[in-house]
Amino acid sequence: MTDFITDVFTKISRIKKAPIFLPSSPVSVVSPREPVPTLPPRPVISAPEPTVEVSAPKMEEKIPSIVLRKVPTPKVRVLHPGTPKSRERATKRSAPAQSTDPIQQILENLKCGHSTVRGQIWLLRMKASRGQSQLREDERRYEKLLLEDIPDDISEQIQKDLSRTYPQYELFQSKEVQAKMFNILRAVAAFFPSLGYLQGMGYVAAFLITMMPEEDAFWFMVHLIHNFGMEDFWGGSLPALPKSFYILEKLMQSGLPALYNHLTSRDIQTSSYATPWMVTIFLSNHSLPFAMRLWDMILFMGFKYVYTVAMAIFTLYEREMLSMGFDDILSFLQFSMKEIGHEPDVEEVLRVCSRINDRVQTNVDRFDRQYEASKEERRAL
Amino acid sequence: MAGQMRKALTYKLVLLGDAGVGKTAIAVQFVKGQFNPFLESTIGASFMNQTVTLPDETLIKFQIWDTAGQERFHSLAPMYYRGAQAAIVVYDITNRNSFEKAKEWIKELQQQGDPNVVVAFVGNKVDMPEARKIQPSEGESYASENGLFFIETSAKTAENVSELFMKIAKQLPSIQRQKDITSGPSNPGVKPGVGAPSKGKGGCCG
Repeated sequence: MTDFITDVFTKISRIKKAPIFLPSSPVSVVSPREPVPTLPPRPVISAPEPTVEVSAPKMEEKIPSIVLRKVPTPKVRVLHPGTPKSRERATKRSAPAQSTDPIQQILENLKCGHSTVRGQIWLLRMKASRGQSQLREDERRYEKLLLEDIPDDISEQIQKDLSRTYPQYELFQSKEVQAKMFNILRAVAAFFPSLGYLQGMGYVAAFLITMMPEEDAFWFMVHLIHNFGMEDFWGGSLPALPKSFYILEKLMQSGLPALYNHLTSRDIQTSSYATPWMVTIFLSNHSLPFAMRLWDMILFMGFKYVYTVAMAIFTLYEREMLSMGFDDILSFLQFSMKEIGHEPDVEEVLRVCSRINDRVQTNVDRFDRQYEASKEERRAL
Repeated sequence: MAGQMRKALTYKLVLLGDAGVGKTAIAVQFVKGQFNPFLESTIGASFMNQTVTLPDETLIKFQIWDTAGQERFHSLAPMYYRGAQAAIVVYDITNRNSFEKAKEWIKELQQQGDPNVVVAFVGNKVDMPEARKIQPSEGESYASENGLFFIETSAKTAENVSELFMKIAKQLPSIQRQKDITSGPSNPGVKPGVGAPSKGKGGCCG
């Protein structure tokens, strides 16, 4: 196993001349202790336009600095994750997840580690890296995709949404970063013509380019669609969404019945708040550092871990939500968590996740089968 | 603050229309009195609320469901307009497609929505007269043919935004009284007090 870890690091250092942080060195995302390696600057792409300038993506591409300045956002009610006691209860008996997966062990120790290293580890994990991915056989595929035509309405929609993605971060308002997002999204639309573009996918593109070069981010998205189940969340009539609402509702009903009754008696359905959770895998509801840690786990455990995260959030905030009415619950589930500083401690969320995961996953499978069976029944009628 | 102690009549209102016409901007201008040109694209739907006081002191609380404009989210829309007592269908006066899309929403509401729903047909972005593609008369005549009320707004300058909601509010209680007579108090759509009385610091308008 040690050999494997060494191998991962060797691969990373070969792919990218990035500083390697040992698993035990915690590095702050907001102010990296180590200077970001100075890489040859790549030509600046002009503002995204429907006729896009194609720049040959290179591995030496400079990844946007993760030093994020936050612009003021409207005030929302500040919430605290339960009382100290309830927090203690929620995290009690939560031994750190003992993973047998070496890459996951690395990530568990990375905390908010250097994002380019994390990006490379994610690529390896998703088997989306160069050399690993069957889909990447043609070296020039990405460049070719950028030259392909996509329908005007899709291109226009992508463009409209660029500045409306992560508006709280100045980083994503830069023309250079937006050009990359545009390229990735239009290439995805060209690669999957039947899927095209769904509002929300921009968050994924934006998030990924803080961690990896543009072309890698594209292939990562391809793998999310192809191998991670996002096809049914982003494509067609979004068939996975109603199913995820059903599963989440059933999970809450069986795991947190008091909260379930509180919400349903106030006519708050899963569909009232959970669409962005699923479509952006929590990105649009959380800060970047928070989301990075969530994604570490979700990518390694599989998409269904999203349900564990949702249940962990419900568990941590159950008491708080039980004292709230319709408006406050919805405001909280939609907005409050996004506010940096008002978010729960992500490690605390992950500790609750590791405690409840086995039970949640068993139930997810059960409710998934139930949903499919009832769908069959409806079809037969 | 004193006004909030009284019980408000709560109504569900849904915003519909093509992507980028300014649905969220209208809601944010009404709820927070702000305009931000770079609002997040709405994924699925988002919720806001705001209370208005009618001249007769009646408090009307709007539970506003702001829906995603992209056609691909269309399959979710019924979840939000079902049971809504009011709907605002928005188009962008500088965009012909958005006007056609708004008409489709009106048709869908007429077929699928609550028959008593109060519908406002709204042309937004009047702060851009030089780019105007839809004349007020065109919106006006479509609205009157379909029994809707018509108004042009600017979420940017706030022009007519509170008027829009006040106009809806004025139409609501009378409909509500009619409903109470015909269907009794068990009407599932209306849930006065569902939002729980405000505790003074609640709500998202800070």
